[in-house]
Formats: sequence, structure tokens, C-alpha cells
Amino acid sequence: MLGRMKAQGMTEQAFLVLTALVDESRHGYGIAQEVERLSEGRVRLKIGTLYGVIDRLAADELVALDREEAHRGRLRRYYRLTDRGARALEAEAVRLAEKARYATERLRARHAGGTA
Amino acid sequence: MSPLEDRYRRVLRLLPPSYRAEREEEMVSAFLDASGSAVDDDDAWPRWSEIASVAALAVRVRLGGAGAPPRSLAWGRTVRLTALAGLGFQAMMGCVFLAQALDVYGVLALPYANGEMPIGEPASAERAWHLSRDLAPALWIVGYIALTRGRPRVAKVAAVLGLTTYVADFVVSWTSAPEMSVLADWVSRSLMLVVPTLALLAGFHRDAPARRHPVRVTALPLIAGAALFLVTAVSSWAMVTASRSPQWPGVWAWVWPWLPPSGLSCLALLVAGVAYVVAHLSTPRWRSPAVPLALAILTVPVMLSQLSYLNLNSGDQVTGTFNAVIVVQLLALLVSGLTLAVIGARTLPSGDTASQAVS
Repeated sequence: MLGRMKAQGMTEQAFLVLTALVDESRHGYGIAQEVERLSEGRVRLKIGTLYGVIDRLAADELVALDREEAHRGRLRRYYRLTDRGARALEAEAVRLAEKARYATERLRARHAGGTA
Repeated sequence: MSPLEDRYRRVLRLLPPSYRAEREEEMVSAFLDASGSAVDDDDAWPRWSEIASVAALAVRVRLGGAGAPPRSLAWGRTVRLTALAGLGFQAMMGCVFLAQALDVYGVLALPYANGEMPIGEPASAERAWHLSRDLAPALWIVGYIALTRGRPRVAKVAAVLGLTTYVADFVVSWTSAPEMSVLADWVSRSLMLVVPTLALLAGFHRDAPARRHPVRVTALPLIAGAALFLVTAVSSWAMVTASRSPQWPGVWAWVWPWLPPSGLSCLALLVAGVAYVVAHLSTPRWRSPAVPLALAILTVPVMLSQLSYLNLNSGDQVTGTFNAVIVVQLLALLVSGLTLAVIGARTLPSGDTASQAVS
């Protein structure tokens, strides 16, 4: 059970944040940067929005606090993907891939039928 | 501390203290990292989009967002109940207004004359405008049904459209004869639509639990609306008959202040308030902060709306009776609202305990 994520579906922002944490734990700004890179500049998370997403993911136990560090005298909290988060991300990725496959197949059939 | 950091920390004061205690330092750190060289600029301010994101987060956290403390969860339930009850009332009135509109357009035939209503020539732009205005009450019905069936996004769209139509209708008529007193009265009365709509927009955020209510909750205002339409049809017919009597208005002067939407909602709020207080005193397990606080919140726009019907410029006996009834209504609402607010505040869970978001 994945709490709200399962009940309401995963938003693109949550999907990108989880994806940003797959390879390593990251701090808030690091997550925002990685999300922007993954989305090729399309999704730029504001700080309030980012922490709203992190709150939801943490409440659903999809991410967890990894460690805290001081950087230039300021607090940085690093978040990691939990096993549950990895499973949720994988399930969502499979779901999106299925949708993409349906679309691709239909487009292929449309082109083959000469109705473009 | 740079001026930019100081300004951002001031923005973060929108968030509850418990949330700030948990998150402020890392949010400031992330914000300053994202600001780059602007950190050293004494004239730099957080962008509006950053401020808006913090404001939206503050609304969610204060109204029961992810990891919110019990008190915020209770406020979230309160605001959602305010939206539900407010929309339920508007849906009930929507049934009445829709039926009256159907009469004006000749679809229904009521046993009394409604008078000539300007609806424009068939197939004209004026007719289209009147139709869209007269059918707009259906939006509140759609909004309420959507909300109770677990579709808050549809409800939000319907409520905002309903409110927009209401504002547009007033603007069109007011600009032709602008009077400040008319504007003030309209603003007071429009709060009965504005408050539930704002509660709907704020309370049903992404973290709010999606809930489908039983069908009877969906049906109740619609059935009540149909019954109310019959009551208003019969009472209008009785009023038309009584108006020919030399004793006119007689008892109708006492009844009239209860008939506008704010008069009916005054009656509904007083009955609901008394029922809740009795339940609160007799059945401890029914005690909840959400019900009394939602009723107390809804009391404010109803009082302001009823206040707008007070007429202190005329000294005739009928107006005096109107005013006396309205003053009694206002006093009753004041006592009821204050009682409910105190009960609600005492029932609220104490403690703005630390957020559990990252625990």
C-alpha cells in the first residue's frame, strides 16, 4: 500500500523527485537541480513546492532522511529513496511505459493504414 | 545574514511554527543555493513564484497536509466541512432558483404570476446572456454533487464558474447605475458564496483525503431544495393573495426577513447550532471541533448578509418590523456563533507538535 500516492496517482513532480534519488541521496537544492535536468528544463521546482512533494513522499515512506551536513554554515538534509519508494517508482515507470507503448502501437497502426 | 535571506525567512513565517522548527534551515539553505549570485545583492527579493509556493505550502500544512500536527488536521476537516455545508446550502438554493427560472422561461407553470422578467428575444445575444445567468445556479448543484462523490477538482471548477457568473451579473447591472450602497450590500451578500468557495479551494488540497460521501448526503440538499421550492411557491401564492387584503402586509412583515437566502441560512444555522450543542452536551462521542467551528465560520457571512437588509432610512411600521426581526436574527446568530466558536476552540486538539514529515 502506498498511501496517498496509490490512492491519487503519482504526480510528475513526485515521479521526478523519486527518479532524482535513484542513484544517490541528495539535498533539497540538489533534488531541484536534478529534477530540472531530468525534465530537460521543463520542471523547475520552487522551494515551497519541493518541500510539499518531499513531505508527501516522506509521509508515504517513499523517501527518508539520509543524513545532515553543514555547508557554508548552512544545514543541508540529504534524502534517500527507500525500498518502498523504489518499488513505487518502478510500478509507476512500468505503468507509464505501458501507456507509451499503447500510444506508439496505435500511431504505428495509423501510419500503416495511411490515415496520417 | 544577507538581506535576501532575511526576506525569505520573513516569507517562511507564513508556515506554522512547528513546521518552521523542522524545515526552516534547510529551506533557507536550498533557497540561497538556488539564488546564486543574487544572495549578495542587497536589493534582491524572493520571486513572487517562490513566495506563492511557500504560501501554498502554508495552506496545505495548516489545513492538514502530509505530516501535519493534529490541530492542523482538525482545521483541515473544519474548512472542508465549511465548504461542504456552504455548497450544500447553495445547491439547495440552486434547485429553487433553477425551478423559478424554468417558470420564467415557460417550462414550469406556477399558480401565481412572477411578473414580467426581461429575458431578451429568442436567439439573441441578450437571451444567451440571460440563459447563462439564469441557469448558473445549476453550477452549485454540480459542484456539490461532484464534491460529495469524491471529485473536488470538478467541484472547484463549478464553484469558481458559479461565482464568476454571479460577479459578472452584478457588474453588468451595477455599471449601468453605480451606487456605493448597492455595491456594499452586494459585497455583504456575496460572502455567502465567496466563503464556501474559498474553503473549497483551500481545504481540498492534494493531501486532503479523497472521500465519497453516502448517496443520502448528496441527495439531501437536492430533496430539501425541491421541498423549499414547493414551500416558496405556495407562500408566494399566499402572499400574492394576501397583498390584496387591506391588512397587508400583516404577519408577512414578520415572515419576510426569513425568506431571502441569508434568512433561510440563518434559520438553518440556528437549528444546526442548537442541535449540535444538544448533541455535544448529551453525547460525548459526537464531540468534534470541525462541526462547531464550521458552523461558526459560516455564521459570519450570513450575519453580514442579513445586516445588509437592515433599513435605517425609513420609519414606517412595516420597515420597523423588518428591522426588529433582522436584529433578533443577528443577535441569535451572534450568540450561536460565539457559543459554537468557544466549544470548537475548546475541542481542538492542543499542541502544534513538531511535524512528522521527516521522522
